[in-house]
Amino acid sequence: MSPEGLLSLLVISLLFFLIAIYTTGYLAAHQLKSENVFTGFMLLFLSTMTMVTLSDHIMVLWIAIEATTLASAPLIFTHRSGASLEATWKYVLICSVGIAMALLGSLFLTLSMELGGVTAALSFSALSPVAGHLDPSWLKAGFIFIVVGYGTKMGLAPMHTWLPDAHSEAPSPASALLSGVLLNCAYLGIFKTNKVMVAAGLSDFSGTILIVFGLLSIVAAATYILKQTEYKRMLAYSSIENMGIIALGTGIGGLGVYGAVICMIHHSLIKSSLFLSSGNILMGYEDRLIANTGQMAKKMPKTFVAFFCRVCRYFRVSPFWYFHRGAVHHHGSFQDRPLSGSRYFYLQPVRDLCRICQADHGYLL
Amino acid sequence: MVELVFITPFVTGLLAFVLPKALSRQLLVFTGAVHLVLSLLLWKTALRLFLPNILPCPRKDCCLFW
Repeated sequence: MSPEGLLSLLVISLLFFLIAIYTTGYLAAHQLKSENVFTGFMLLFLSTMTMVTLSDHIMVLWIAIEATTLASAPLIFTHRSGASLEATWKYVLICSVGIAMALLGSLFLTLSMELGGVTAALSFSALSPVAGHLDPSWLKAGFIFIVVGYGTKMGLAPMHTWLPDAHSEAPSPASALLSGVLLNCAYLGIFKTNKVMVAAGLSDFSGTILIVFGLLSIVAAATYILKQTEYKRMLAYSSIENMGIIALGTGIGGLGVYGAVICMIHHSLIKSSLFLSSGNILMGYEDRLIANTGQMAKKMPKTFVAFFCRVCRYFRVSPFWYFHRGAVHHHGSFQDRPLSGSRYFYLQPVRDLCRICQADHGYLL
Repeated sequence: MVELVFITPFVTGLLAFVLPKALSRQLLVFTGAVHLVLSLLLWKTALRLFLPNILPCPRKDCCLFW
């Protein structure tokens, strides 16, 4: 089993177990009409995500990622409101188109095998040793389509438009799974394909593509996050930004990949817990607007402490791990790709300033 | 058995559609715990495949899961 798949599987398992414990209390408090449907699809969602992490075959990975879309869509529609219907529709439509692009990319990979005279199995582990023999033109075309396709699922800009709606309309346990785990599954597809590109000697090409999408996602998220008035949507845009950082680190290569993996793990843990805390906030205030959730330290002190600690981690205050992830990213970016590194370096203060402005909107006061 | 790791939540997911609400909540937590244990076993002891390749493949080393 691939190390990245095993790592993702362990994160998925741990998070799902903790989210399941939270969900029992959440369901008892909310008394959903379609509770059986919700529980059933949560488990099916877990099954499909596990398939993604375990699969090495290119087409089985594609099938599993498509299955995650189908298994998670009913979770977004749990509240049966007009907004949740719209969010579900956008999610299914945009992600399905993205997955179709990824299928085209996978077909181009097989075409590169045919033209290169490669007879290895259609799996990532079998392709990597013989990647040097693959036809480079079709391999590059396949990689672009796979990045666009799986990047849609991952929430990279400009294919991210489904993410804020889906993550904000879904119930908090589902939002935690969508943000903390599903995005990692989509990233696995890109990561594995990038490994083949690096083995084929096309790391500059693949790295450039990933850096462009990564920077675009960071800028888009940092811009839109300023306009957000709902805390769940703000967390969703923060996920887009983190996925951009992960793509950026992967594109930089070397130490940047290490930073990207650290970011992936900690984004999963922290973002999931933030969404679960937002579920508590929604239950306590019955309001989604940041402006109407003030004085949390007095009204909900435990939730305030939990939420505040996680937000501090997001501000990359040492000694929290995010600080070290950022340090690794910076070092890697300057070491391997000086030009990209300098762009990233100047974007960081802008991004952090946006976050501080958002916090100042008052839900911490 | 590696297949158990994704088959278990699939089966319990189908069961959850028909069970009473209280039972399905317990099943959610139970499946999460079992899944976590199986994942740790997979990490520590390298569980092997149980089912053979189910699709005919002309290449000898073709494998759906690693």
